[in-house]
Amino acid sequence: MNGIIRYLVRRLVSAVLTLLLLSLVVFAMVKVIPGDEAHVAAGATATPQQVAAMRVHLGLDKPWPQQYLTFLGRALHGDLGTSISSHTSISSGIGQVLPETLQLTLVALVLMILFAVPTAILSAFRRRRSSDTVVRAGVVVASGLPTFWLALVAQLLLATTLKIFPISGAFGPHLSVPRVTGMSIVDAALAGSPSLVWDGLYHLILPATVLALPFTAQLYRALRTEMIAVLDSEFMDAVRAKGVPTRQLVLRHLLPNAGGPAITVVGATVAMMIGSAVLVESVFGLNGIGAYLTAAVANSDRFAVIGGVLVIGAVIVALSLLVDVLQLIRDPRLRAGQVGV
Amino acid sequence: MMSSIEQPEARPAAVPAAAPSTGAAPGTALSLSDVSLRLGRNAGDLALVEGVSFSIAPGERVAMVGESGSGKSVLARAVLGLDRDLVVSGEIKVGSKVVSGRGERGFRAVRGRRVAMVFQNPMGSLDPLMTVGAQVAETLRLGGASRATAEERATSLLSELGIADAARRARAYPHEFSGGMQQRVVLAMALAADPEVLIADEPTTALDVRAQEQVLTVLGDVTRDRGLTVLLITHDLSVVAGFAERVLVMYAGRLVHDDAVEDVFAAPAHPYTRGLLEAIPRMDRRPERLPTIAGTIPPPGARPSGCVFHPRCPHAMPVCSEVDPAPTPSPAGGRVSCHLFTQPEEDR
Amino acid sequence: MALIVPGIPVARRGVRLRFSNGRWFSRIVIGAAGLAVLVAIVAPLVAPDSVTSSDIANALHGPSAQHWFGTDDQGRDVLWRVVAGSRASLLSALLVVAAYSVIGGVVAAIAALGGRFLDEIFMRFTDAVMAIPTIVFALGFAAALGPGLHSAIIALSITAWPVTARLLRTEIQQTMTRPYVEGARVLGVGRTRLLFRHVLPNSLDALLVKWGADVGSTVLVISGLSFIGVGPQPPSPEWGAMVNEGAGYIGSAWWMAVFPGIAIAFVAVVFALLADVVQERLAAGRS
Repeated sequence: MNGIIRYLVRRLVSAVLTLLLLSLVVFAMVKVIPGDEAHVAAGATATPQQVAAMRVHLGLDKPWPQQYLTFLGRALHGDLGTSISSHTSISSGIGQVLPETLQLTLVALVLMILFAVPTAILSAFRRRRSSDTVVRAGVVVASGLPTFWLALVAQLLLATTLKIFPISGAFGPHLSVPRVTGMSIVDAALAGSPSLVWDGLYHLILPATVLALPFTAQLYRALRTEMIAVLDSEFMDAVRAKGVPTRQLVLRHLLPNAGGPAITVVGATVAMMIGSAVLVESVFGLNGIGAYLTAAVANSDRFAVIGGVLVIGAVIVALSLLVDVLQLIRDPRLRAGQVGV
Repeated sequence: MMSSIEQPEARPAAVPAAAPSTGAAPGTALSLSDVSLRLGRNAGDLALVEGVSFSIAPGERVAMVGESGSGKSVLARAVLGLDRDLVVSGEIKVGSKVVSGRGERGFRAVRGRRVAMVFQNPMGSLDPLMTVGAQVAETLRLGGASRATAEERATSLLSELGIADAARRARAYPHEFSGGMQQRVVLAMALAADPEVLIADEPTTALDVRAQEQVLTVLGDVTRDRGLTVLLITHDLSVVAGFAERVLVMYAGRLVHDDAVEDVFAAPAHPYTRGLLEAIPRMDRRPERLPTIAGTIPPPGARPSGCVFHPRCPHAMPVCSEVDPAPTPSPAGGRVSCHLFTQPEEDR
Repeated sequence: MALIVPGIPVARRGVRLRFSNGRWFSRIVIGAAGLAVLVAIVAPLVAPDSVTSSDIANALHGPSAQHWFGTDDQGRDVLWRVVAGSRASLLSALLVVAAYSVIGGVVAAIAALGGRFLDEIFMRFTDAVMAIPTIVFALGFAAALGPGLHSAIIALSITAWPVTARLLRTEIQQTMTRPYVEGARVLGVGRTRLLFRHVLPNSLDALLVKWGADVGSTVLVISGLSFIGVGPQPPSPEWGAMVNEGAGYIGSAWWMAVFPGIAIAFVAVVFALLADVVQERLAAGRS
């Protein structure tokens, strides 16, 4: 038990350190930008007095380390400053949009797992050497397709032309659903309205599939490789010799043992998906953090951009911590203190 | 229907070793008739094992010996159908039930419940992510036991095999045990479903000498208590002496010698067997060089014509390179495939 | 354990697909990659003015004999724009890869040779940077530096060097502990010399493979950035920006967006395959 606690503490400390460093980097980015912050904040038409007042207001006359600490202090309290363009709180602005992105990512994740796991299992059982290269080629191609382009093409083919799916990822009911978590589908479910839930899902399927595609290919490949390795391993023979039927063999022995790399891949995938989500959202008209960031960049709203980057970074660091914990749960050898997931 | 573990008398007593039976005699625990294992369906495909026939009576303890490459492990695995790419011809029977020729289903019927197998590398035979107790209990639950019963029986089984503080240790993971202890766990797993036949493939090879001894003792005790039929695969003849009643000698995919253990050690009939024995270093004799059998075992694709051992045999005769010797009775009452013993009028 | 029988080759490779792992497959891949780079270098010099000038009369014509990829909303020939756009996308990617490799190498050397404290800090820093998806980070920088190709390049170089640095640091550490290197050190061979003569060649394998894959993914990111509007500004051609411009016309003039996208995919795939090919060649060379 001791070993686990020490490991968790270490990981937690590491995560905190990482976040701190991230905040430092982000802060440095703001400082590095050419141009007078106060001037930008006050607006192009501000008078020198207004600019000076803004400078004091933003604390820009203080030394940098102190500025950083103030910034950090505010951030920890959830205050990421005010948006230059919209003059509203950045954190509330992000808070509005982040759940949408998370929802999209979650749906994409679920789709990815639903597709990759069974196909990997099947392909691991019936393996043929010749399909190995086809798989590899397929993965390479799937990963090489630019997501935004794929989104456009998918939208063109499936939504506009064939009209199977809706063009937009968002759906009207969001307005009429009481906002609890900010995730429209979850909120719809909480409000007890299954038809809205289905509607929401229906709208999200296309964007989520596009988002998930390259990652599904990679997960499939990683899983398949690992499963083949496990199926070939010695203890599988012993399990079969015991007379364990196939379904139980897969569920209780194959998946847990092959799952290690898969969990790590999924963890890394979520990080990258959030990045890709930025691109997909604009095509499908989803109002997530991607749209927020893009708008901020277009408006040169540096504080909003910085805030967004920091939040995304925090989410991802938390996720990687979660992945580590999951690995610990899965594999008792790691719990025994052998470091290295 | 679970037979209780505490019924050693339920099994028939061991058959005296002097009369090994051939063919499908009544009361056989395991019998193989003209079994060949090929890498494909066609006759021309590589045969790893050819024309092996033997049968083991219930309660008998038989050792199968041979060098690496002799096909002994592959043959043992074939009884449970573990290698799906191998094509089995001939007949394998467990008790009176034919297991071969029916695909997966035939083997599934006997795996674990009637025939259990213990492998060479104990750490490799255990799922690293499952507790030891759960793995033993898994076999029991496959037989229909409830969770509570299975757990209880698993614990008592572990205890019987010499694992101290079994109730607590059952919740430990394989990597927390030493090699010898792991092998006992593997044994417990194998015995859990109360099989009739236990096949042990080099169970002590991966262990240090002390653990080897302990595992063999434990193996001996539990199998004797249960009257289990044991097929022990090994390349170590010293292990054979303490354990087996009968010895099957494999060479290059063929069964060349089948005799009682005393006869094999005292007056080995087949030249290969003799070579194996002479190669064992002895404390009472100090030759300048350890005797070896000249040459190496031929790989499956390159087996010689006629008697498969003849290129290395000190007693080779002209007929040996032409005609493959059929199994004939050995002086001690077993069977041997060697032209030294082939009588012209004798038929099998 | 799968069946292992002495004397029989362990892997009986089934029928290999004709176009895989063969000699001529790797040749094709290398050839395609080389061609792409060549086009990227040469094309902008050769492209006609029509690439950036407008000719509204000709706008939005579909693919035809004169315009193989059709024309865009400004009447420009899409094929030439795609070809010219290769500079922005591909050459920039190459530049980025070169830049971050150098930066990464220097930092790795300092970290690996500089003692434990420096090393720890460095590791934490890399973790921090790796935590953020490249696009997001690049967006941040782009906000700072303003839109344009230069900000994309700078942003990507800065975000990507940590991974290379980490890779190299591991390599350096591993090589430094090899007996022959220790022996050389004892003999008084200077550290820098060691670095160049021993560490670099050993790391080359991993680096080459990484470079191949990275060029592909960098092209994807650069075009992604342009798609959002951060990156080369119109009218200069860049694949991502072209997709963006074509997005609005996707229903009526699909060729505007589709062809640049295919170009992006093509480059990304070719270079990823290149990385694979290089890896296999190196592995084969070793054994």
